This record gives sequence, C-alpha cells and structure tokens, in this order.
Amino acid sequence: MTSSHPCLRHPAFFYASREDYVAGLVPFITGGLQAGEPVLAALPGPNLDVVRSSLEDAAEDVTFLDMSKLGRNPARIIPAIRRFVKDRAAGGSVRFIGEPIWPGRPRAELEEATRHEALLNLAFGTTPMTILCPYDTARLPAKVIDDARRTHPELLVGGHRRTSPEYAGWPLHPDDAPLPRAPAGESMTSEDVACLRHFVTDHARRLGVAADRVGDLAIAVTEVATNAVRHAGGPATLRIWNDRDAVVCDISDRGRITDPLAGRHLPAPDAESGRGLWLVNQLCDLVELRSGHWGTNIRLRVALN
Amino acid sequence: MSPAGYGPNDHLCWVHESESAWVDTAVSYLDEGARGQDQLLYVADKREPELVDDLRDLSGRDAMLESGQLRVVPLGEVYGATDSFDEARQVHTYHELAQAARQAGYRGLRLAAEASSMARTSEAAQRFTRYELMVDAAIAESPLSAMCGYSRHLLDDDAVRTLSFVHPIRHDAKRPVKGSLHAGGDGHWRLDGEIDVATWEALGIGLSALADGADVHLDLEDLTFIDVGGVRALASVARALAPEGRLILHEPPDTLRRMLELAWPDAPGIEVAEGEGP
Repeated sequence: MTSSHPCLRHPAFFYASREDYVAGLVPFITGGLQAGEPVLAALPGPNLDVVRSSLEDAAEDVTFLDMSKLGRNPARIIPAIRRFVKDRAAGGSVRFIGEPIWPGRPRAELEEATRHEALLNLAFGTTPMTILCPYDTARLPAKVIDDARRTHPELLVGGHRRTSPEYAGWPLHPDDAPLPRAPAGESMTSEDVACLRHFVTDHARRLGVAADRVGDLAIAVTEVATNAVRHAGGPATLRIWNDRDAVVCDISDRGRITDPLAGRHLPAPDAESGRGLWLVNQLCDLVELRSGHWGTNIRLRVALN
Repeated sequence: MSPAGYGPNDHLCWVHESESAWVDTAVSYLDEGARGQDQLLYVADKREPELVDDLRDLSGRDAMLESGQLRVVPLGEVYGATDSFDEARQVHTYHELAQAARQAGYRGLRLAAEASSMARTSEAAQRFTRYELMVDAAIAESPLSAMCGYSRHLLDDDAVRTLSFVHPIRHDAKRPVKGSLHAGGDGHWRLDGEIDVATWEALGIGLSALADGADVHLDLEDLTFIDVGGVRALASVARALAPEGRLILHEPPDTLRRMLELAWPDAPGIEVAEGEGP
C-alpha cells in the first residue's frame, strides 16, 4: 500500500473469523500510522475491543468511534468522516475503517447502510483517502455480501486486493422505487403543515414515544411536510405506525429530491438554506429517502425508549 | 362573535370580513370600555360624520361625544400619509392621550382603529408592522388598550398574517395565526405559540423591525413549537445584528437549543442567555 493516493480508494474487506479481522485491520492501521496518515476507526462495540487490544500501544494514535451509535442512522457517518478529514488531513491522506453493516441489523437499517456505502464513492471520490469496510462473510446474508461487491470498487479478500467486477457506482439502481408498502396505520392527507404536525404528535404520544422524542419527530415531520407542500405543490400524505421498538412516520409527495447527498452536509454558517434534511438526519434514528420520477417518499423512525 | 373581557394593556388584532362586521365589533369593544370608565377613541379611514354614524348603536353615543368621553378621528388626521408617517411620534401621542385620560378621571384610553389603509402595499404593511410593535410596547406600559381592525378584503394574506402576528391577542375566524411576536417586560420581546411556514415571513419582518443595532432580547418560555425555517429566520436576523448587536434568547425550548447546536453551531450574533430556566 502506498502512503498517499490521488483520490478515494474504497475496498470492502471480507473476513470470516476474528483472526481474519485482526490480520486485515491491524496492518492497515499501523501502515497508515507509519505513513503519517491519521486513522479513524468506526466499528460496532465488540469489534472496537478486538482491534484496540490487538493494536496494543498503537491504539492510542487511532481515533475510535462506536459505529452502533454513530451509524445508528447511517446518514450521520459521511459528516463524521468529513469532519475528521477537515480536522486532521492537513492536505494529506487519511484512513477510515467503517463497519456500518453487522449481523442482526434490521432489514431497513441494512438497506440504508448499503446506500451509505454507495454514497461514499460520490461524497469522497476526489478526496485522497482510503476507506476500508469490513464485512463478516461468515454471518451476514449472501445478499448483503453481493451488495458490498456492488458498492465497493475494490475487494480485499485473504490479504489480496482486487477490483470488484460487480461495482455499480451511483446510482445503485437506475431509478429509486418507493419504499416497501407501509403497513396499515393512521393516515392523513393535507396541505396544512400544522395539521399534519398535530396529527403526528398526537399519535406518537399515544404510541408511547417519550416527550423529547415527540419534539424531535415534530420538527422532522414539519420539515419534510413543509418541503412537500412548498416544492411539490399540493398536499402531502402522511402515515404513522408502530414497528417493534419504534414509531415510523412515512410521508410522500409528488416532488423530487435530486441531490443524493442531501442531508449529509452542513452548509456554511452564512448559508441560508440546506439545514432541513441535515437536522432530520440528526433527530431521527433512521431516515429512508427515495426519490424518482414518481415523487418522493421519506420514512422517519424514532425509537420508543 | 364580538370582543369581550379585555381591559387596560390589552392589544388586540381583529381581522374582519366586512365593513359591517367591523363596525359591530368596534361598537361592542367601545361599549365594554365605556362601562369600564375608559375614554374612547374611534379611528377609521372615513370622514367625521361617517365615523359618528358608524357608532349609532353605541349606547350613550351622543352624551359621550358631548362630554368628551368619546372622540372620533379620521385615520388621515391621526397618521397622516403612509409615506410621511412618523411611528415614534404617533406612539408618543397615544401615550400622552392615555395619560391625559387618566388625569381627567378615566380608567384610561380605549382605542378602536381600522387601519387597513395604512398597510395597502407590502412596503407599507412592513412599516406598519414595526409601528404595531412599538405601540404594543407602549400599551404594555400605559393606561391604554387598543383593538386594531384589518380587512381581509383590502389587504393581501401576507399583510394580514404579518399584522396579526405582532399582536399578543389575535382574532381571525378564518385563518387563525398560531404564533405571535409582541412586547414583553424589561424591554424584552416575546415570541409565543407555534412558528412554522405560516409565520416565517411575519417573524422575519417583525424581528427585522426590532433590529436597530442594539441587542434584542427574546423571551421564549411560551414558544410551544418552532421549525427549521423559524430558526433560520432567527439566525438570519442575528447575523444582520452582529457584530454590534446580538439576538439573546431567554428560556428557549429544549428543541430550539438542540436545533441551534446541531445545525447552527457557529452562527454569529445568536446567544442563549445562561443561568435561567429549569
């Protein structure tokens, strides 16, 4: 591995055991540190401990983040990387290890994490950095591994790096389809943003959402509904239901969001607009956004506890 | 529906759908003042005989006109032309009239003013919005109460909404405005109720009217909701105030604090007053 790259390198790293994991990550990290490249590792909790203990003293020079917190909503990962690059890169290259996909994540979260992986190529295509993404091939479903081949230009398997023939770039699909059909829930169609907000807050309270999270949901729903009514022209349809340990709120309208990175960058302090979807991503535990010729469909999830 | 239960220091906005609805409302409002021993002032964009005729259903009208308890004044004589209107002087005049009413033995001065003519263009409406805020501050400190009438049919929706927004008490049967900016105590201003897309513009106009270079203090303990666009309006006014002045937020709701931290971390000119609240 060379010490600096003219642009992004983004390999998926396939491992099937703890030994594989350590054998892949430790040289990547220590190689980066020796080359003077700042290293950020965002891994799910237990894996953080594995890497930390394997690195011994070198762990002190690595920035660690718990991916199960940072990446709970995967739309928050790109901003965290951007911040690290801004604070630490100093014109050189950096290394980031990101593992937002782990066994047992619910389907909707895996879907968003996969989109995040694909968006990394778009967000950092011209940034000199290496992003290594570990995948547990022994425990993840085959479809998830297939997707990893499509979202990563390179694969690192058994210590060998090669290009991924299945790499699809962005968009992953020619046109987004709407999200899977919402289950039966309470629904409302209106052009009045305040009515939509009151509808959601009443039902969120009834479904057991804590008071501060009802406030978060009210802001997020108001923002999405306002965009829908203002830019799409016409009423927005909103649906709310209970899904396991969360409340989910689905909003659809006829407008189209064309920036695939919308909500993943914070505008400059003097910029008037561009903070709406950013805040929605900060306030909700998961945001699923699909936009195509048919309109826009956004699904907001807020945990009950 | 007619206004009832209002007393000194109340500042009410009444959006009406017709001339006759306004006259009925004004009569009822002035009648309540007469029963409370207020001196009464009726202002509208009409000649004096028409103003007197408007109040034909006001009980004791002629006797009150005779005694001086009731006065009617054409709008033009009060405010002059919209382009030469001096807001500060007019606010001072009302303050003086209210003091004089008190000295003459009345409880205070009660004013019913149909002022749509002062807000026929968007520029005039913005200017009159500033005036309404200044009047509101005077009403809070004088033996003065006022009901401002605005016509849905003479004014565009934005003007009606903005003018309603700068009254602590608002009546609009068709399109109620859920938020409000008005005078608080100690030279502070208060932002109450719900702020969303319906009131972004009103909030921007109202706050800009208050931004004259010095610090602006906003009391927010009765702000029940503010959306991203509302915070954008706050940040925009704060940026215009900086570096000489600041927008200082008192007791903001937790959600507003969070939005500022998450999305406006380095916004210039906006501050949360510390050492207050829960």
